[in-house]
Amino acid sequence: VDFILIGGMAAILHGSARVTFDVDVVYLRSRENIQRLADCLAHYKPYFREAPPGLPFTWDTKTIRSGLNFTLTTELGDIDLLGEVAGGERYSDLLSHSLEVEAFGVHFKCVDVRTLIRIKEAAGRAKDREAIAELRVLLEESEKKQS
Amino acid sequence: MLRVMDSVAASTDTVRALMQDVDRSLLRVNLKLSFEERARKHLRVLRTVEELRRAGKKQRQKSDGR
Repeated sequence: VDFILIGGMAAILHGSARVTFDVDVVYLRSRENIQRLADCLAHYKPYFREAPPGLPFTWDTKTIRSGLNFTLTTELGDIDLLGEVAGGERYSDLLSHSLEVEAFGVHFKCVDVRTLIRIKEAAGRAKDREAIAELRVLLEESEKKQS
Repeated sequence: MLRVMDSVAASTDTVRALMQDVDRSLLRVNLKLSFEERARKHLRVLRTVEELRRAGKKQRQKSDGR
């Protein structure tokens, strides 16, 4: 599945000391990728977070195509699948602002710190201000370390 | 428009102020780790949080006489 890790988990990979409980990813909305996303997540019983139980819900390509951003609970934990982030950027816009990461034997893309800050600023949520402040300090510290 | 600019400026000031409170020592330690080590460290923290949650729930149930 083509995706880019964003949000709190991306911040942790960049060195954040904050705790986060969900995974946020931006996924590519191509026909093939939507198929892969539907297939791979279906095994983990995805369901809309905070929705009352028992709603008619099928996790398949039709559901993904008819929506854009999904906040899900799964057997693996909570996951936000985003076709678009605050500010209107999509997978293809973020690709050049991401880096390849290897962890647990898996290679995947993770958005860079500057872009992570930009996304959080575009969201304009008060709760993100502390996270933005930490990311700015992280940026300063990693620049200091490199120089 | 001016109101939006005021709100952006206020938000920038808030972030700048919050930057003073960030514990840089924690970040410096994390920056020495690999991506995987950072992820593993976070997983350990999550496990601890989960344990504390479980303990808290058990305690509340005990207090409620359940």
